Amino acid sequence: MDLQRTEEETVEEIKKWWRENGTAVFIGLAIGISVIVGVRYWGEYQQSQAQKASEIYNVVNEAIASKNYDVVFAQGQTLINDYSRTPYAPLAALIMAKAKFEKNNLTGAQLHLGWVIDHASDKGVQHIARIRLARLLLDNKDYVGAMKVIDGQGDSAFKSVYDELRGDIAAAQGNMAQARDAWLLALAATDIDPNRKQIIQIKLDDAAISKTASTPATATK
Amino acid sequence: MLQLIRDRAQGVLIWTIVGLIIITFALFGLSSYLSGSSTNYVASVNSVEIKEPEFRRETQRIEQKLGKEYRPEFSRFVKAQAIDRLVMRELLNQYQKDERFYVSDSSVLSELNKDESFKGTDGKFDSVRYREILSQSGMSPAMYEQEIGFLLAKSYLESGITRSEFTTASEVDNLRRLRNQQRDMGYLVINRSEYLKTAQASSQEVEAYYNDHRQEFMNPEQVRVEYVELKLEEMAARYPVSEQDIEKKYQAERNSYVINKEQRRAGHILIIVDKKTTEEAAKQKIAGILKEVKAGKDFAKLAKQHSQDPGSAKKGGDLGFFGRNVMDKAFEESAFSLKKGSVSEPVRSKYGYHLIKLTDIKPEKVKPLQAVREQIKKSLQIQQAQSDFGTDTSKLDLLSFEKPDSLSPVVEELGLTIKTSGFFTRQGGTGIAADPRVVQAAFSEEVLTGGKNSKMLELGEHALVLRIKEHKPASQRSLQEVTPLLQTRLKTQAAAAMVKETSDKVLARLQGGESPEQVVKSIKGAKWVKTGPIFRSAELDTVPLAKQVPHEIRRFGFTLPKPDAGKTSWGNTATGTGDGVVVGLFAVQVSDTKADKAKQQQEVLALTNFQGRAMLDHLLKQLHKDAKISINLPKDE
Repeated sequence: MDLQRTEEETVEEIKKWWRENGTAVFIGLAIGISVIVGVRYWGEYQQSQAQKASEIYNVVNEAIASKNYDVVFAQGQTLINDYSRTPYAPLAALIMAKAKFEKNNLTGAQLHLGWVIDHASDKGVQHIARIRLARLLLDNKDYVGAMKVIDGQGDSAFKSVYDELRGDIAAAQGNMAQARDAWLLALAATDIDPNRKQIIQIKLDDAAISKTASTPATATK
Repeated sequence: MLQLIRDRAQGVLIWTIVGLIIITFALFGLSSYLSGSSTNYVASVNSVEIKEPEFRRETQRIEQKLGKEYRPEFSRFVKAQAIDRLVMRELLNQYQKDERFYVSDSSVLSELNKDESFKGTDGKFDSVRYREILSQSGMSPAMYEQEIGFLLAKSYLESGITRSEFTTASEVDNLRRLRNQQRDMGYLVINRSEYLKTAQASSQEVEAYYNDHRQEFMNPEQVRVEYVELKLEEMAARYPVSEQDIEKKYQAERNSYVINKEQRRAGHILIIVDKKTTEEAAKQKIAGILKEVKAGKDFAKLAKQHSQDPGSAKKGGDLGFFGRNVMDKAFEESAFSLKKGSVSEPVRSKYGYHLIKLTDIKPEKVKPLQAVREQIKKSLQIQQAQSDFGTDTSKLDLLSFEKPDSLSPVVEELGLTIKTSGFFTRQGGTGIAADPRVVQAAFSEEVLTGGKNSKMLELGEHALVLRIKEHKPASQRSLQEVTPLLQTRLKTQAAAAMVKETSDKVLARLQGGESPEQVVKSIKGAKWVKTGPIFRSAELDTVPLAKQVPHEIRRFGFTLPKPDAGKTSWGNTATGTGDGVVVGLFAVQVSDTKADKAKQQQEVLALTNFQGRAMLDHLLKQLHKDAKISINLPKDE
């Protein structure tokens, strides 16, 4: 660089740089600021949406406790229509499914549970909906459908629940060997509640399979 | 100046940096720069750290909850629980943020309005009171409201999951069928004790077993220590105490030896001073009554006639016994200065004018000096010994440390005697070895292998220095020594094998179609028992005989495969006490009577609650599973 430049030259250079890049800087700043404002605004908008949703949800939640089904359906539908991206919509849908179940409307209950599986952002809530849907189908003797709903649901904190359910479905189909295997898997889970363990053990005991006469049936333990 | 401008103008890079800084501040605010990690963290949840002070508060909270139940041994569990809670809380906190579980300000407000402790005297929310209560626990309203919001969102999630749970008809039916199932069984028990009688263990077998399990048969390492000790109480006994000193202390502390304070019984006549009766009128009236008393009229009769204290007037003015600090001050002064049987001059209390007649005195009862003499003497001695005990223990501490190879220097200097303990192991022993601090010192590196004096142990008002007198390392127990033990063990094993063999043979015979009544005759001490139909749980059984079926046998019978019609399903097992059991299952029946409506509803409700809680539990476990959690518990002090 030229070390002999005078001040005038330098000022001239700055002016030149500014003529060439000024617009770009302005546009850059404008974009930057509007992005910041936009992000903030979006965050606040979502927060206020969720807050409104929480109040509607509270109404649904109270209504199911007092079996006020009309309110459950009306307010729940509002959440699903207008606030589907808040966490309150899937919870309300779970509650609506329960209300439909209590009114013996199994198709309706299934639809709501299906909606939760597709729309809940939390995996745990999805699992719960999936398990409940499979249980409804099992109760309705739709064994293939029930199995399909829980198919491939392996590695999660709900594994033991899925295993037990697989056993229940197999047992309902009369497939006792398969049922026993599934229940044994469920029992092997370390995080299992003692009450649930007891129930599975009873089902397992009851499904004991007769061995051939040549091998004496000694107890495993 | 210009140099600066030139530098700036040169770098688009610098503009970019400035821009980035602006954006970060705008997005995250200053706080992300200010909250440095200065304290240690005990856990990190998705790189959010839980700090030590927070952890300490939580452990304290748990300890407080345990209250009197708390013991230092629980420390590990308390810490683990505190960590679990804090991690769970942080997980939920992050979950609420990620999922946008926001709650509205008005619902937070209505929670505050519900809280009784924030209500003022008019029963409404009192904001001054609210701030006061919060500041007592060092919280700002913003912090507290955030906490309420957190709890509210948590309850929204919980109730959403649990209230939406259901139980299907087939689920209730299946469970009821299992519970109401009855099984008709028979069993025979093969007693191990019968086989123990004839079981043998040859000396060769014992020796072989001994050689295979040598390391099981060791004498534990033991030591015997010699020690010197200083006991405050023992030292104190040597100090003379004069009778005068005891007497002086007794007098000084007399109040603490009082068993019953003085009580007096009095009657009174009251003339009330109030709006209707002026001071002057009352005074005159009471003076008139006093005259009558002095003239010899009966006090009780006068009280009945004149006293305006209706309760006592009926009883002739009698107030019964009372101590000091019960009555009006002026009344008390007078009552406690009268002689028995005399009547006071008019006394003005806050009620009006009284005449008081003292009728009885129960004098103060004090423990006599004789009863507390020893106690006082001891405490005087201890007072005197305290400073000498202090000097002697510091001498003991210093000397035993400076001359660590023997106890004789301290013995000479302090005039102590060397005592010797019995043998004890690392698990402790009797006498001084019952104290774990003594055991720890005796087995410490320095004392055990270094052969030095221990540090002075301070066991309350008892100081002790020890050194090893004798050390027995762990040693092999001889074959001879353990033979009786091994014989029992091997015989038990042999008996168990015979039981198993018999049990298997019996099972095979029964499966082959022989009748149990026939088979049982060939087994020593065995009995064939038919249970009749029994339930899975003895609680449901009503027939006494069915109730008595041992739990293990009942349980085993319910694991047997169901028999084909007319056949028997046989199986065998061993009980916890080593007896063999052969069980036959004849029939399985279900009393399929529908439960009554109320009971069924109850069952459904219980199952639904249980299932709902389970779902919530698994949801939280899922959060745990998906998070990156590292625990960094501080080491124990």
